[in-house]
Amino acid sequence: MDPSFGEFVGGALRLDRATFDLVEHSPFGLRLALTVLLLAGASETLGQAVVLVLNRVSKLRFALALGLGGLELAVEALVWIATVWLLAGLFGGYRASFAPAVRVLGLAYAPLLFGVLVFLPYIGPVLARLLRVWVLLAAVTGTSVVFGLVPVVAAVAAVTGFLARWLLLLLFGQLGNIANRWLWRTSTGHTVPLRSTDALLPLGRNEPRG
Amino acid sequence: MILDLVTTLVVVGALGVLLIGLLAPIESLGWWAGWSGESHLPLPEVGVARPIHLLVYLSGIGSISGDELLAEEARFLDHLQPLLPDVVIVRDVFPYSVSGVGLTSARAFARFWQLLDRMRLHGDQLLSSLINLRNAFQVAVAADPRYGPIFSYGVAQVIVLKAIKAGYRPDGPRPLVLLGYSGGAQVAVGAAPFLRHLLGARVHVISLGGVLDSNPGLRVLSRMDHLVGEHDLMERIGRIVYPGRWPIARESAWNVARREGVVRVQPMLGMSHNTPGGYMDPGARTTSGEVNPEVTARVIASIVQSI
Repeated sequence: MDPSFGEFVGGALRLDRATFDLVEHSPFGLRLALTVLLLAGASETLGQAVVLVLNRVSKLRFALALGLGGLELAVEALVWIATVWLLAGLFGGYRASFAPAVRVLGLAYAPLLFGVLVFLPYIGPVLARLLRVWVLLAAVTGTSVVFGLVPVVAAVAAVTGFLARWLLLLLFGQLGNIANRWLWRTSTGHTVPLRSTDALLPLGRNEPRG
Repeated sequence: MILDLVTTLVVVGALGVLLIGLLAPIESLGWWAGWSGESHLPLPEVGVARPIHLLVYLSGIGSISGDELLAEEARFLDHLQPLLPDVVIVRDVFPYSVSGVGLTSARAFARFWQLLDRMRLHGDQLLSSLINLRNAFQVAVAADPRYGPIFSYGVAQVIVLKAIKAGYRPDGPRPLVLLGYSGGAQVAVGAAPFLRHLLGARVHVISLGGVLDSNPGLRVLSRMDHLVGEHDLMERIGRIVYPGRWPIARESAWNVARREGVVRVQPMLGMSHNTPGGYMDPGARTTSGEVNPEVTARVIASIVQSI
């Protein structure tokens, strides 16, 4: 019998290889991975809700932004998974088909289910970085399982995949910006996001010392 | 069995702290978004009030409302007032709310806070420490670059309203003085740029054991006197948890202000943060035989008179 959703997530959080092995072969693995990605994206967007509130978006658009946040994370994850999948062969791993890679590396995003904690004052931004490092560690474990690589080589593959994804985003940055602007406009109804410093800087920060 | 109970209590406690932390920024964000009414308060006309010297007191994190200072703080201000006969001391600002609304005032959970306040009066320190925890998270909101500007702007508006009601005239020759105790000092520094903008006045902060980050507000202060007790462990927390306070962060607002002489640290010998032995503890004496609040009040009075 397959473990429950909670057990899969718990295993991923513990970086448990057996859990990643199970999800790779689970018939529900793809659905589970996509659920994790959508929930993690929504949680992270909720954690960064300050920008939505600051822009005084309506409740409907707020809900829409959470949903699109989930989709955005799913797309981001798929780009990373695709680059790792393409690179794995270069590092001596066996070429698994794409679906198991999505199942395993999608589950690796489980730490971002705690993304809502980024909302915490002061320590939130630090937690955001720690959660991303946790995701990276889970992805290394998952890469090691799905491509049969030793952990060190899996780490190099995952990090190289991350850098390749970053390079792709840089190369197609304009396209990404257009997509981001569209996402922002669709979810919030505002042209450009207002940041807290943008709103209040003219009121104070530039005042000369008295 | 006992281990299970302890574990359950620790988990419930941790979840409670997490919940209070997650709820902490909502008041400021809701205020900004207009969920709780008007976020831009109409400022009263300044009129033709005579120029006065004003000191606004921002209480420590034990505060529950602007109308009700802790007995120790109220007694301390009673010590301070006769030393500054030409200074009006405003003591009814609640610094841990973006709109200045006290915890026991018109709020959804006012009855809960009133209950905790009564428990505190009867000596129950454990549950009433939730007041301190709630206010400590508001200090974290003030120090957070995402929420801080919103929070500080709101508090600055509240201070302006109270100051003008007290007869303050911004075009007078003397700066507005903010006396912040503990977390109140963080709130004071955060509000300074907005006070400078709203009033056009110079702002001088006196930090009494302030738990402060390297706030950009330091860049607009005319001066800050940072009074630090020899045994004040709380003040040291600020030095440790805020990286901008570390000596290695040479270009941080704090270190630049220190180099430029804007921040002046004044040691308070033998004093700690809270009672016993705190700055305001009437039962503690310095080596000269004076009680602590008298010494603290004298130091603050001499700073104010030198401005």
